[in-house]
Amino acid sequence: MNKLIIKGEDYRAVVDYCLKEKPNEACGIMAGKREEEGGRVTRVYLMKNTKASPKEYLMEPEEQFAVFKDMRQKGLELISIFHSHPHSPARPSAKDIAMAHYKEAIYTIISLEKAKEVMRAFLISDDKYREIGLKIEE
Amino acid sequence: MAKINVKVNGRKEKIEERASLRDLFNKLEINPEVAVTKLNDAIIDKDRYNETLLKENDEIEIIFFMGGGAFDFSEEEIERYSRHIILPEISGQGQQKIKEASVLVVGAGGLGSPVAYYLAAAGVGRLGIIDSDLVDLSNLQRQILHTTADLDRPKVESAREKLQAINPNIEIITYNQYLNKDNVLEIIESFDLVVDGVDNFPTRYLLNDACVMKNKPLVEAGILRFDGQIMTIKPGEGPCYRCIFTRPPAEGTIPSCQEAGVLGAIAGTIGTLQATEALKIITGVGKPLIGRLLIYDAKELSFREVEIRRNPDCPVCGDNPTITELIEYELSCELHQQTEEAGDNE
Repeated sequence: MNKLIIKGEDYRAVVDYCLKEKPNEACGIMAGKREEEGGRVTRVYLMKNTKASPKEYLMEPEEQFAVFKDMRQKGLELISIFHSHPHSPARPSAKDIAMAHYKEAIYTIISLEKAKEVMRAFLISDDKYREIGLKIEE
Repeated sequence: MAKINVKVNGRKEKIEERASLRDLFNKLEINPEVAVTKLNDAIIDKDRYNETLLKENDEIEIIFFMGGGAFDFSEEEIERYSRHIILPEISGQGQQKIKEASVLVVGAGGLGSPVAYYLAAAGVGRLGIIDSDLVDLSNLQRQILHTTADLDRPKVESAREKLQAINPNIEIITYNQYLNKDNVLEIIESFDLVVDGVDNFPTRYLLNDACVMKNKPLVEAGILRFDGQIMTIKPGEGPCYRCIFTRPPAEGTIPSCQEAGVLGAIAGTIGTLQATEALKIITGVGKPLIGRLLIYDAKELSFREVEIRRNPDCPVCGDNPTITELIEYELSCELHQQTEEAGDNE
């Protein structure tokens, strides 16, 4: 996938959730369909950060199981795993890279470091990351 | 062997009869340490993967941990360290290791100056400097941390000012004291790595022994006249200083920099190599100078490498060490560099 395609309302829902959870990191899953142009998000799951921390996040496995089950029932594919960096730039941290176990997923990071949020999308594999495009469709 | 059908994350999978969950993980090339597994809606503890045998039509759900952490660099730091981060061998992860590292530089003199400058500039998160001396006019020919305006000031104060000016993001801890057998273990304890920039044999031996006892990597070096030498000591992985030079040289056999002189720039050459070694150890990049003594001849501008092995009879790191408590040799004169035959530093 070379691009993350997300609807404006989903984009805002993600950012609002991240702002609500600030100062802690917020996290969640974006599901949808893998298309030729990129990964198209049609559903966003706002998840609990079990770490409740401004510096790290970890999703609750049971909640993850439930989301994957729901995705399967709705015929959705995993498109992206997102989380916020409330106080730092939107770049994958060493821990983000070390925990990027879904090689096929886009890792989306929302930085709330500055007044205006910054959302960036990355592919992470073999301890390296590569930024890909982000398209917000209204 | 007969095969059975199971479902993994909703997909059909054929596996051998009586295969365990562990076998399934192996087949799918999944690292069980980063996954959580449900078998027929019940989470299975990792310890039971081997004994959990799969049956026909079992439904297995596997998820990977989804987690991560904050990016630990501000935009200012990203720009500051960009020439590091852009190196594929270092990248953001290596720079993170540098930020999380702590290094003790023993001596804020000729060698300690370039070591401390480069480690501070590189972003070593916690930098310790120990030196009990005051800045002397004769130091300024090579001890580039200090300036004419610093004369008679404690070296550690002068050092702190310069290093903090170069990099305000790092923590600098200063020890305005002489390293001795009563304080060395406690001081080195809180650092990951030690760099030797001392100017006398008693402290050099004390530091070597303490680092072996505390299992701390030590970047050892010495300079005199137009020569320098450097080696990296990683206890348990290669020789220590005593493996080569079992005991300090007899008094008067080796002159000091004060007695014999030293070309100031050599402190820069060898100190910079020490900083390089420290950064290599921190990041895991390259091959450190373990079991290799690098000898520099400035007159010829040549480097020579001598292979050295751990001495099983070494009194401190050998198979049956006889030195189990720290020894403090008398600092009766300003002894300096021993060569392979007879080595200082500064």
